Amino acid sequence: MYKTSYKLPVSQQIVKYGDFTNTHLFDVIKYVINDDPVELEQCFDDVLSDMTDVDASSIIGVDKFCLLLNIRSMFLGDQIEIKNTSGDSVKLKLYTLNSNMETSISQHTTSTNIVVGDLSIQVGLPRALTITSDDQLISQCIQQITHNNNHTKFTDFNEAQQQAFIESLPADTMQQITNYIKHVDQNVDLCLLASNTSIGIEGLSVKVYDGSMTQTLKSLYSDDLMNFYEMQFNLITKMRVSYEHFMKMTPNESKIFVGLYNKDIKKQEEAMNKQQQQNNPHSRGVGGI
Amino acid sequence: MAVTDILSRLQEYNNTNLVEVHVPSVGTTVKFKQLSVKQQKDLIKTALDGVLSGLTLNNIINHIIVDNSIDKHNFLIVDKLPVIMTLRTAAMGTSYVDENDVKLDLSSITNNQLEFAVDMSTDLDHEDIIKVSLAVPSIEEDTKINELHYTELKKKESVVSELMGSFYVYELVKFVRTIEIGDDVIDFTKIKLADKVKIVESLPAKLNNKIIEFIQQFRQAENTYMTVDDTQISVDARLFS
Repeated sequence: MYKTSYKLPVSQQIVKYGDFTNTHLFDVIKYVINDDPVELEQCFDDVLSDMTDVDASSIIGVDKFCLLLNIRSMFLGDQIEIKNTSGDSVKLKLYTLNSNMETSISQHTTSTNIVVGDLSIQVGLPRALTITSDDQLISQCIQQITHNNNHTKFTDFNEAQQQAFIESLPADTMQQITNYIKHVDQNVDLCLLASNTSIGIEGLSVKVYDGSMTQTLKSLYSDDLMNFYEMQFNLITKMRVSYEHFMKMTPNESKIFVGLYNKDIKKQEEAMNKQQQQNNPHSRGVGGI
Repeated sequence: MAVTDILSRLQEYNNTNLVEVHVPSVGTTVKFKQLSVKQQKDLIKTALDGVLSGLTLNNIINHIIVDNSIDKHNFLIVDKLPVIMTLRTAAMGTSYVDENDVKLDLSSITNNQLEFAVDMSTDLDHEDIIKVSLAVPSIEEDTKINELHYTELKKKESVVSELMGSFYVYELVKFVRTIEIGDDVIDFTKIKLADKVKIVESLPAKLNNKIIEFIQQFRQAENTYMTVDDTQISVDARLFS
């Protein structure tokens, strides 16, 4: 069930998405702890494929990054804290970061067409957030092949066909592809946060090929596994929420329920204390000496 | 459009996207398909072969010449440089930065024709006892000998000085067609490589020097052809990266 939509800044595609649940969060936390960027990206792809109406592995990496920022803001809270140059905490809104990123993307050309005979190859920003080899980078940057206005997505090619296509390209075409990739590497610096000396914040930006997008997502989605288990314990054992129901809740919902429960307990304690004081005016309340 | 159709169209384009090269042994221009990404990668990967990289690079170039030529000819090893240099510049442009960071223009190579002022074959006579018939080897023969040589060197872990010695002898072997001693004629196209090597190693030094002189005439012309602004360009993995 899709409830919200988001327009991907590079492809301009509208993605509909449902809830980011505790099941998703639990998976993400485990992969963040494992500290393997490739596996973490695979986990994000699985989560996105589960909660959106698109196949995440076909989304451009920068779009995927923005979508994950948007989901983080929506389901885990919009506010983050970072340390400024003096070591003090500064609160920032993720919405602002995402908006800066979208503005930054709009200032760059995000794809180019290279003609090979009667084929036109669209080369653009890579689909992967983490690049592990030169060969992978090339196949990740080829987006679609057009012949007589018929477009074929490169992700429709299987791995062997992708390799056969790339290896059969004339070397001068590869030279043009690598020139584009180098251009992006040297010129595309996506700004999340502009430097602000008045509050002592250094600028924050990500690049396309260096894995900085995965690193940023890793910090934004990192959470203590113990916190998660504690929340699960409170909801399942104290509030008698079923395990299945808990895993289908969003993390924000779970926090609200735990908050309400704690508030209720506090009220009950206060009422008990009041009652005890009325029964025994010399008592100092629960736990009192 | 089906993926297989795209791959076929790319193949069709490769078969028609040709470059023309003046081939010394043919004496005219021959059409070649452009270097593919796989071929370029194979050339670059030879750098990982250490002391044997020269052999692997040579054979990859030989395969490229045979595979990419549209009209089939019995190409000789003296055809290698004009073909590979034209394919290189067509794929990557004429600019090249050498190992000393000097920028060179390779068009001064490809704009010229490599020509030899000597015959492709000759006969040598050593004191009326030994007669040796020499000829510039074909690319096919060169490939075969390089492959056998490579396999042999891979088997033993030879020291560099031994390797250099073996390269020298194998180069001579490639040029020998027949050796006549009295009434006996040894046809080098019909004997094993190991026997060829033994025979060439047993030839008198004076005769060996004459064989080297014959080979040197081609090498000198090639060196001149490959010189740009007093810098001699080496054909190695760096040239294709």
